[in-house]
Order: sequence, then C-alpha cells, then structure tokens
Amino acid sequence: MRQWLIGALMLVSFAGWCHPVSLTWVNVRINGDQITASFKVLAEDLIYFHHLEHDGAYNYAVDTLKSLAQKHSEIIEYYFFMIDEQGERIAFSLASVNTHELTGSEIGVMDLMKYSIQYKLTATLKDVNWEKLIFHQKFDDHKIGIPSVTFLSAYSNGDKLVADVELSPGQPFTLYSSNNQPEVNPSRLTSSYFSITPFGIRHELTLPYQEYQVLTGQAKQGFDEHQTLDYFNHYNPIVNGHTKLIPQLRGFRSLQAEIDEQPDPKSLIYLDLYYPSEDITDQVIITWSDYNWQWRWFESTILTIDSTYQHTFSRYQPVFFWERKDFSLGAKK
Amino acid sequence: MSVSLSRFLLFAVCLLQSIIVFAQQVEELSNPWPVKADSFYQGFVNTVEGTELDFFPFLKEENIVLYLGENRKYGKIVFETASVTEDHSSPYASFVWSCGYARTAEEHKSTFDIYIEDEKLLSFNTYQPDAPQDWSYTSPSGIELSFVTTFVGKAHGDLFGYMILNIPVGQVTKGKPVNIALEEVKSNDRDYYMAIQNPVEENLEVLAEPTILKTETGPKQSIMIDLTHLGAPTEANFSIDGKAMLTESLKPGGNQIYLLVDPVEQVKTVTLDIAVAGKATLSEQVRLKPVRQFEVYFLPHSHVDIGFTHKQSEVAELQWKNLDLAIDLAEKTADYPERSRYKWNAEISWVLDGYLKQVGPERKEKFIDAVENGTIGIDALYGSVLTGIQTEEEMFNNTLFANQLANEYGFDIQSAMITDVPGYTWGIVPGLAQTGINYLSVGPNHMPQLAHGGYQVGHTLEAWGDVPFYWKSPSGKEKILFWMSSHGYSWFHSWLMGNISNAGGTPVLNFLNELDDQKYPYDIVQLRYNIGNDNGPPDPDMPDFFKAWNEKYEWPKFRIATTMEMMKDFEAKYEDQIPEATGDFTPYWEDGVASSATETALNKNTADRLVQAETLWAMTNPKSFPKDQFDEAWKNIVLFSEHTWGANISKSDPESEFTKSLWRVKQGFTLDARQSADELTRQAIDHLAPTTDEPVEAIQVINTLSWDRSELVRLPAEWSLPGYRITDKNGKNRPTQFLNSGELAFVATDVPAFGAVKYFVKKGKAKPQGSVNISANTIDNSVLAVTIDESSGNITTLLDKRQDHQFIDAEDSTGFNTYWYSGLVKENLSQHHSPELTITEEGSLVSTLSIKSQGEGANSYTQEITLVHGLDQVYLTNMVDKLKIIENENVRFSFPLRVPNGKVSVDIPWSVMSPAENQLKGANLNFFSAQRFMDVSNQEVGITIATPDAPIWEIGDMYGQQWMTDMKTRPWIKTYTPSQRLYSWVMNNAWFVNYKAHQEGEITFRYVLEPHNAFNKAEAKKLGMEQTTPLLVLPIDKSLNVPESPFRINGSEEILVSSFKPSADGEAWMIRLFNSSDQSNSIAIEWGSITPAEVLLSSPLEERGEVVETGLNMVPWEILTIRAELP
Repeated sequence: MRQWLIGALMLVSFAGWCHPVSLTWVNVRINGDQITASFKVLAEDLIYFHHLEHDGAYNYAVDTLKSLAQKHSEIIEYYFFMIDEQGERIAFSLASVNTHELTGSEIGVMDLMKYSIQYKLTATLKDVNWEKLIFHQKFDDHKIGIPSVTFLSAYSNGDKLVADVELSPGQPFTLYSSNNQPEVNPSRLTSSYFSITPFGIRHELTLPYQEYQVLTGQAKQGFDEHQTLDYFNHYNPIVNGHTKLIPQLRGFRSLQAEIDEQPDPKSLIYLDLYYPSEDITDQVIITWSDYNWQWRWFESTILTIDSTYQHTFSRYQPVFFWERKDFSLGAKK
Repeated sequence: MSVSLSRFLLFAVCLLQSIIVFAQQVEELSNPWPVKADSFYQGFVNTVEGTELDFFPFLKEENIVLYLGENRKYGKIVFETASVTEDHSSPYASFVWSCGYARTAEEHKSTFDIYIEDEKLLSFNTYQPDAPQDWSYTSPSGIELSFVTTFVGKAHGDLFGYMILNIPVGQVTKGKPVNIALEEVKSNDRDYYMAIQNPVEENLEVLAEPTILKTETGPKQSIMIDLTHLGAPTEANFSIDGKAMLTESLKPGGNQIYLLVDPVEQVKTVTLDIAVAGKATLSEQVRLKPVRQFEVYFLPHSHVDIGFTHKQSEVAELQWKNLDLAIDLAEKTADYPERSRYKWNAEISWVLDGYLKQVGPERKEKFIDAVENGTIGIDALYGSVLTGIQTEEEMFNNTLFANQLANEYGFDIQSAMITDVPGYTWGIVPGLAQTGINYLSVGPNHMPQLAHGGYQVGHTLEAWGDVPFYWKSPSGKEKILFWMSSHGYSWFHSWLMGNISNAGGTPVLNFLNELDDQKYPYDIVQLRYNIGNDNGPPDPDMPDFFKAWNEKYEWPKFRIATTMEMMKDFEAKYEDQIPEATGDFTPYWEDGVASSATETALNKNTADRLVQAETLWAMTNPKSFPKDQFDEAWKNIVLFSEHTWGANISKSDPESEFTKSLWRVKQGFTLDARQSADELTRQAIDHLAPTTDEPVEAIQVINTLSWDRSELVRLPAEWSLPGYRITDKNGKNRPTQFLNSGELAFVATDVPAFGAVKYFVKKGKAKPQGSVNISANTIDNSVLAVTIDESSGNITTLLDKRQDHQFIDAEDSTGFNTYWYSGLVKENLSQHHSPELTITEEGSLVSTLSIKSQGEGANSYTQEITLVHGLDQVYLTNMVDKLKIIENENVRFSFPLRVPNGKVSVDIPWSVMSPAENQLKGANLNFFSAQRFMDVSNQEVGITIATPDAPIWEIGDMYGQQWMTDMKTRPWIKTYTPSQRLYSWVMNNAWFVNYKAHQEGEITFRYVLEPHNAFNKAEAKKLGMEQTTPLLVLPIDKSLNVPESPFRINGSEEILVSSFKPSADGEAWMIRLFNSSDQSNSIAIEWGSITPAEVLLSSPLEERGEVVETGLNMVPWEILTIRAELP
C-alpha cells in the first residue's frame, strides 16, 4: 500500500516535473475577412491533455504522439475562439497539423518539451470592417490540472497590431483594428515558473529577446548558451539544502510562429533551465541577486510538491525560501 | 515709362502684396477636426535635418523631438511624412503630427516659416494670447494647414497639439512621403517650435491609481483613464462591470477621466467599458489592488553646482536668494496644514557659509529662527564632493563648517545630502558618523531615458535606488542610514516632469505603483524636489498644490520635509527592518579628475601637507594654533574635491571666457590651499631655524608621522654650507652625495616618530658610500635590481634579491611603466618609442637612470628610475611634456606584475579594499580611486605601488571607458575579473561637460614601488603616507637640541596616527589613532616632552569624553580620537 502511494506521489511529481504549465503561442493574421491562426504547442501538452502514459523506459512512441497531435487539434479548435462586436462567437477550423518535428521512433519524457507541433486554423469574419475582436483561451476547462497561458501576436494586413500579449482562462484579450493596445510594463511580458520536484528544479522563463540580451550582457544577435548559463548561475542561484545546484540548459526557443534567424527585439524567447539533483532536501532557496534598470523585478510561480506559490523577486525580496511540509507517507528525509 | 503704366504697376504690386498678406492670414479654426481624407498619414516619420532631443518624458521609445528656435540656436528642421499609398483614392492626402510651440515671452513675437516640398507655405508666429489657439490656413493652391490645441502648458502657456496638413491629391506623389521643413525667421531666446515624432494614434491607458479620495460618500478608489481621441468632440459613456458611471465629452487629443469606486480589500479585476459615440465600445480589464498607505516625503532643495551654469560668485548669489525666497515662503505658509508648510534644504553648507558672511542682521535672525523651527534644514557636507579623491582627514573636514554652525548656534545637524555624484568611497561612513551625522540622502544624476537611469552612473541607481540601508563603516563601529532616491535629484526639472503643479500627481502615483509591484516594504517614500534646472529656485506653487492634494486624498499623503525630519520618521518606524551593508561604493565620476592631473595631484598632496602643518603646530606651539587659517585651507581643499570642475561648455567651448573664468576659480581653490599649507608650515617651524646668514652647520630632520623613518633627504642647493660632510650626534660620518641639482643628499635613519634627529654639516667632501650601481641600462642596490630594455625603453626586470623574485610579467606585451596614448576608449592605441637612456645621477648612495622617449600627444615622455643605498624602494618619476589636444585622448602607464594568483588591494580612506570582496553591489569595477597606494600580493610575495599623484587605476585592461563602446546599453562591468596587470590612468578629457578639455606642459607622476613578502596593510599605508608627508629638513643652531618627541606609540605597529594637532581652543592635543589592520590591536602611549593633565576619549568634534586610564584596544579598522589636555 505504502509502495503504491509512494509511486503515485512520484508519478504526480514527475508529471509536474515534465511541464508545470501549458505554454502555447499563436500568431493571428487578419487579411480582409480571413483570419489565420498559427498555433505552436509543445509536445509535452499532449501528455497533460490526453493523459498519455510512457513505457517502461520512460519513452513515448512517436507514432502515438503524432496520432495524439491530430486529436489535440479538437481541443485547440474548441477552446480557442473569438467574440466579435456583435457578441457572436467565431470558431476556428483546423486547416493543417504539422508534426514534422516529431522524428525517430520514440522520444524520452525528458525531451518532450524540445518538440513542438504547429496547428494552422482559419476563420472568416462577418464584417471586413471589424473594429474589435475579443480572443478567448479556455484550455483549463479541459481539466488538465495545470495553468495554461497562450502568447498572442496579431497582424492585420501585414501590420503588427500586438505582440506576445498573455491570454489565459479568465483573461481574454481585446484586439482593436485601429488602436494600439495600451503599453504594457515589460515585466508583464515575462512569465516565470519554477518547479521543485524530487528530481531537481526546473525554471521556465519567457521574456522579450531585448531584455534577455540586456540581462545576459549579450551584445551580438542570436543565443549564447554559455553566457546564459553563466548569468543564471551567478545571479539566480538555487540552493538545495546546503548544495548550490548548477543549471543546465534544456531548451531555448524564439517564440515566433515562424522561427526567424534573427529574433525581433520585442519578440519573446523561452528558456528552459534545469537544476538536477539526486535528492531534493527539505529546504530550497531560490535567490535573485541581479540589479538591472530594465528588469528590476518579476513575478514568478513556484510549483512544489505540496503547493503553488507566487513570489515577486525584487531587491526587497530577493529570496524565496521553501521548506517541505510534513508528509505522513514518510517520504521526508 | 508713362505715368499711367507706372501707376498701374504700382497698383499691381500693392494688390499682389495684399493678396499675399491676405493669403497668409490664419483664421480661427471652425472645424474641430479638420482631417479631410478618410484616414490620415503619420506626419512625422523620418528625420531629415535638425537638432534631435530624446529626453522629454512624453516621448515614446525610440522617438525624438526636432527642435527649432531660441534665437538661431536651432535654425532649421526637416522631416518626412509616411508615404502616400499607391492606392490612395481620397481627394486629399491628410497628414497629422504632434507638435508644440512657445507662447511668446517678449514683446516681439517669433516667426517660423513652413515649407512643403521646398515650397514656402506659410509664416506663422508664436502664440500670443489674443490669437486663436486653433487656427487654419489655406493656400491659393488649396493646401490647408491647421493647428488643433490639445494642451496648454501651465508654466508658460505654450501650446501643444496636432498640426494637420491636407494636400490635394494631385499635388502629392503616390508611393512617396512629403517633405516638410520649418525654418526660424526670427525668435527670442526662449521661443521654440518642436515637432514630436510620437505616432499620432488613438490610445487608451488605464491606471488603477493607488489613491483613496475623500468624498462626500466616503473614501473612494480612483481609476484614471487617459484616452486619446482623434476626431471631432464627441461623448463617451463609461461603465464598470456593466454599471454606468459617467458620461463625459471627449475633445481631440488626450482626455483624462476619473472614475471613483469603493476601495477594495483584495485584488479584484473589473471590466471597464467605454462607449464612444460613433465608434466601437472599448473594453479593458482593470486590476484594482488595495491602496497602500504611502506617505511621500518631498525634500525641496536646489542642486548646487559651484559653477557649471554660472560663475561661482553668481551661483553663490543665486543660492542666497533661494534661501531668502525659501524662508519667506515658509513664513507665508506657516499656518498651512503641517504637511504642506514649506520647508527648504540647503543641500550643501557652502551656501550658508557665504550667506551668513554677507546677510544683514534681520535676515540672519530669520534664518536662525527658520533653522530652529525646522523649516530650513541644514545638510552637513560642504559640497557634493568626489569622495574618491579625498583623504581620510579631508573626510572629517567635509562637515567642518556645519559643525561650526552647530557649535555657534546650537543647531541640531544630523543629516547630509549628496547630489548628482554616483558612488561614494567607504570612508565617508566614519567621516560622517564621527562628526555627528547619522543620515545621508543621496540623489544621483538621473536621466531615465538612458540605460542604467543616469549619465555615467553605472549600477548606482539600479542597485540601491529606493533601497535604504544602514551602511556600516570598515570597523563596524559606525553606521549611517543611507537612502538613495531612484529618481535621483532632477525628476522635477523642466526638461523632465516639470513642477509638480504642472505635471500633476500621476507620475508620482505611477512611481508608487512601481514600488508596490516590487514589494517595497515601507510606507515612507523619498523624493528629491527641485525645479527648473541646476541651481534652480524654490517652487512657490508647491505648498498650495500639496494642501489641495492632501485635502482631496486620504492616501497617499504628500509631505514637504527636511532631510533630517524624513530620516528620523523613517528610522523611528522601521529601524529594525532596515538592512545593513558593508563595502566600498566605488564611485563613477572620479575619472574626470584626470583631466587636470596637475591640480588633482596638488590637492591630494596638499591635504597631507595640511595635516603635517597641523602636527608641526602641535609639536611646536599648540596654544597659538591658527585654527581659522587651517579651516579656510581645508575648505579650499574640499571645494576642489567638489564635483563641479568647470563650465557646462568646458568641452564644447574650452577657450570661452566663461570656461576659463570658472577654471581659474576652481584651480584657485587648490593653489590657495597649497599656499596656505606652505605658509602655515613655515609659521610653525620658523622659530626653530637660526636667524643669521651664517652657513648652516647643523640641521634637524623632522618626522611628523607616528613611526620611525629612514629616508633620503636633500639639503637645498641654495643653502650655504661649510662643506659636504655630514656627521651624526656621535660624530660618525654619514654617506653623502652631491647631486647634479646642487642638493646634498644623505639618508637620515631612524628619525623618531613626531621627533627629530640632529646632524652636523662639516667641512670636507661628500662621501658617497653605498651599494648602488648603475650602467647604461641597469641600476641596482643591495636589495633591488632594475633593467631597462634599450630598444623599447620599457623596464623589463624588477628583481627583489632578498626573495629572488622578478616582479615584472615578461610575457605580458603591455610593458612595464609603458606610456600608452589613445583616443576614446582604446582608439588608435600607441605606446612610447625611440628611447634614449641617460645616467642622470651616478653615485653609490643614489643613482638615477633616465629614459626619454617619444609618444603621441606629447613632446616627450621621460621616466626617471632611482635607487637609494639601503632602501628597498624603486622611485619612478614619469614626466609627460604634454601637447595641448582637445580631441578625445587618454594617457596611461601600464604595470603588468608577476605575482602568481596575486590579489589586488586598493587603498581607500580608513580601509584597504579588495575589488568585489569589499565592495557594495553596484560599485564601479571599470576603474578605481586609490587614496595613496595599490598593491598586488599573494600569500608569500607582493609589491606595493605608492601613487601620490595619480588616483585613478584600472585592473586588467583599459576598462575605464569601455562602457562607451555601446552608448545604448552602456555596458559597465558587473563581474570582477582578477588580474595582476594594473593601469595608472593619468590623463583624459572625454567628458563632454564639466571637466577640462585639454591639459598641457610638463606634468609629473611619481610612483614608489616596494616589494615585500606577505602583504601587510599597515606597512603599505605607511609607505603611502611617507610619500605625501616628507621628512622636513631645517637648519638648527648647533648648540641647540632638537625638540623631544611629545609621545610615542608602544605596542602594535599597525596602529597609526592619522592626525596629531592642537585642539581648536589650543588647550589640548587631538590625536587620531587608526588601526590599519584586519586584526584587533592594542597600544599604550608613552608621553615624552609633555605629560598631559588628562587624557580623554574624544572624536573629530573634540568633545571631552571618558578618561583613558591605561592602554587602548582597537578592533580592525577602528578610528579613535583622544584628547590630551595640555598642562
């Protein structure tokens, strides 16, 4: 009984480890009365949304993933929609599913997030002279148990209207045809998620490319893994018990639906950092010790085995301290 | 020509002129939104020509203003619209851009011409009150230009709004933009036109204000809506969560509307709908948060630049006038509610020094009353100083005048302000704390549009802005409350927010929201408040604005305060929560002092000469101590260290009379200080010298430091000597050497602390006995050996024979003591060349090898390397015969040291600092300010470089201007990279204002290199002090004995005396002890010539404290002052 409970606990924590939040990105292009939405979904989402189980070697068959990807289009179609000025719901229809990144015969559970699936959806507007459209995303109505955020960029007749605004259940976004959207504080474009699991600590961070350059001191275009890791190792140390963990880079993505060679300064990039540890002790300390005029604070969600926390990292509270609560299962050391 | 024809022609000309005049008349605008096309194009997209300004707060990112006017200062601007599209179908092409122009300040209006595609369209004038604010003009060809006012500036009545240009489609080229130019015809010094590049677009900004309003229906929270409407006036209905709240009329341009809702106790999101007639409804999610109970303390002051914008004397008069205005305003508002009663902070006490000397008795009484009742706050620093170039004792004299005021009038002065300057040496903590100052308000330079938030501020603002902390001294025995405002000092200057009554409270509310987002843990907020520009006046509208604000708002509260009041309130509420920090806040502006290397060296050395003069008075005649003269000399030293080096046009117009006159005064501070130091020294010791003209038969060598010393001394060439043989008191010959300069040199040994040794000058020849050997390119003594490479002129070997250690990294290609010349950063880097080696002094007691080379930027570069028998130091004297160059330049000397894994230490006042290890976060890593030495050591071996003349150093590479390689990101170093290569950055001129544009002539830089085994910080301190406090040689009557030492320090050799002087009243000796070590140490004082009646603990304020019975124990880096009452 006890072994089963421990296994269940590990499975939950492991599932949480894989991807603590569903992050998706959509580029919406409006030309006349035609709308195209290009969705990018990380392969990990397939696990959450469809409860797919890995095999004994913690792998997933690519064929299965591809099949699930097709099925997943129904979720995108159903839970991503618009409301027009008349209050009518405009649904999208699937135009294509692109799974070209899912190659080989199987993919390990730790590698899932490196792969994405592209969905192309279309819709038709009733009024070509539309003034506003309200975008909704309700993925958590599917009861996946983790938060979900979509980053929306929109173009009208080739002109960029908005870039990387957050869309989430309960937080729709109103797009206007002629107005610019209000300026957002750059920190609102940032999302940060730490997840503390028995296997280590994961940090998923999205931020504008320009700020990534400023933070890491990277002068040239592109991405420098060494400089990135150096930065987080120095300014965002994570201590497990008495041991400082060393970050590894699991993923870096430029979050434009069409991946350009040179990221736009304001486009979002996504970093996935991993701090492996053989055993997570009772205490974890995450510190943010940087001081940067253009990035003075940011909010982060910290998901742990026992709870979810919100912490604003700033000069006034640079440290997040987590202490494991008692478990009757005796998993605590 | 017939009469009728000539008359006809005359009539035709007049008619034509009247047509032109009539056609050029603008009319009041009848159409409130005169855009003729279905949609308009952006009127200002690209700049073609003109002065661009980027600092206005209303500018969106990457946008600029093109500026025209001010009496031909900015004569013309040209810009392009967006391109007319190929499929444009409307009969008109309409272009809209934002702009503003002055309300004419003087009798004669200013005039600007506007050109469309190089054709003059119209001449229009600056605004005068009898003219229409909204106007229109139509040309004969049908081009229509209109101006729609959206905002009238409160300060001067200037107009801001939209210029709308309608061009018949036949007169534009599809696919191309339209070129628009404006030229000044004539204008006054204040009048302007500015074209603003911000895109003209409808915009909605919603701010859930962090305010609680007092209303008739109870407290309410406010939602501020800023809606930009482009169109004719119309109505808009505002609702929250479907409930109608307000109907408001919208005008073209910005509209601010406030909706009041009940205060929330938890975060709540509501939906705001705005239904604009004729347009789609706007919807916005608004996040309401509980309102924090902030109280914002505004500290009104004027930022005092002693120079820069005005001559120093003019600044003084401006500031005295400001003081009078402030006192009067405070009197006028004495009956206002407490928070809105006017108060003024004097910022620096230099202002008060001059004020009190010239003010009449009646105004003086008012001033005293105002200080006593707290409406005038006195801040203790004499100037906003560059602490990085100050010495330990100079630090105590920063607050000298303030302490005099406290003593004379009984004022309670506990606070200081430092303004503009970013970064402060650690020694300022004991420098303030030990003189009774507990609080330091900091307002650095602030330019929010720049990376890091200010000009050359490094990481200052982002590390410590709005993060108050207790800054502990190196010993930990003192601390001050340090509070930096992240908006610096200039947020309300006219080129930023402007007066608060014009800007309104919204910028402050946005700032409070930002603080709340960051989880600022306090409810008290600091803002510096000064208006106009540097040296600006008090704001007469401030009290009324604050009164009205506090009547309207329950929270936040706005309070006018003094520095001390704010600090005390903050400390009373949050003392236990305030974090502590230790370390050097290595400053960022001190590089500019290398623009006047000679004067900088002079001032640093004079500070120590003044300390020496004080000691001489203590040793010889304490009861007649001329305190006033010393005080004036110290003030001059502090005034030279004050951050205003010269004029705002010092680099752009270095030859102007304004620039020159400001520099004359600035230079005069240090020249006067040196003159005073010399004179005071002479006065102290004159009576010791014989008064006859007989040859000098006996001399005394006087040591004014607290340890025994052995050094080379020189008898001046002008002395008449009976011979060149010197004997000690026992008749034993001392090795002597007659130098090429005509001086007679010998090594005085074991000259006692605060004492003297007597020698006799006898007939006979000089007897140069010693161990110094010299050849064409080598020089050595029994301890050290130096070799110079004859082809490069670089020192290639510096060998310590005792340790058999070579201290020069031969593999480093930069070369040792190499002269490096470059432009900005490291542009066109070159080194000295074509060396000529000469033996300029040859003798077994002392020898000098001279290397004269050529180098860019100079007529010549000469290195003199001297060794002395029995001394383990290498004396380097570098002389640069500098050319006058105004283009950006840098001069450095490189020192690549071979000390494996060696750690660099930097001498700073009251401590020794290791980079990164002993620095506060945000401190400068690009360059360092050394007080008297640099050192590189590992556990076994090291070398100290005393640097009496050149304070600015770089470690590893020429990093000093590296931040200029990208003026957008300004990449200041954030992580220290250890290195054993040092650069002495001796000259530069890259500052575009304030510092000098050029320096020329023979400029000398001295270095003394002393190899050692394990690093001892106290020994290094001693080496440094010895270079600026030389042994003094005086004739003495051969029958007299030298004065006995007044006291000796027994016990630890690491406890030094940094100051030994008479008390102000002449009744006591003040002895300042400094434990210059990482260990605790103990001493006992052995009294000599005089036994004090009583020995008391004291401080730089010279008070009488507890009796000191026995020895003294001191913790690491502790500073202790004792007062020895003279019998």
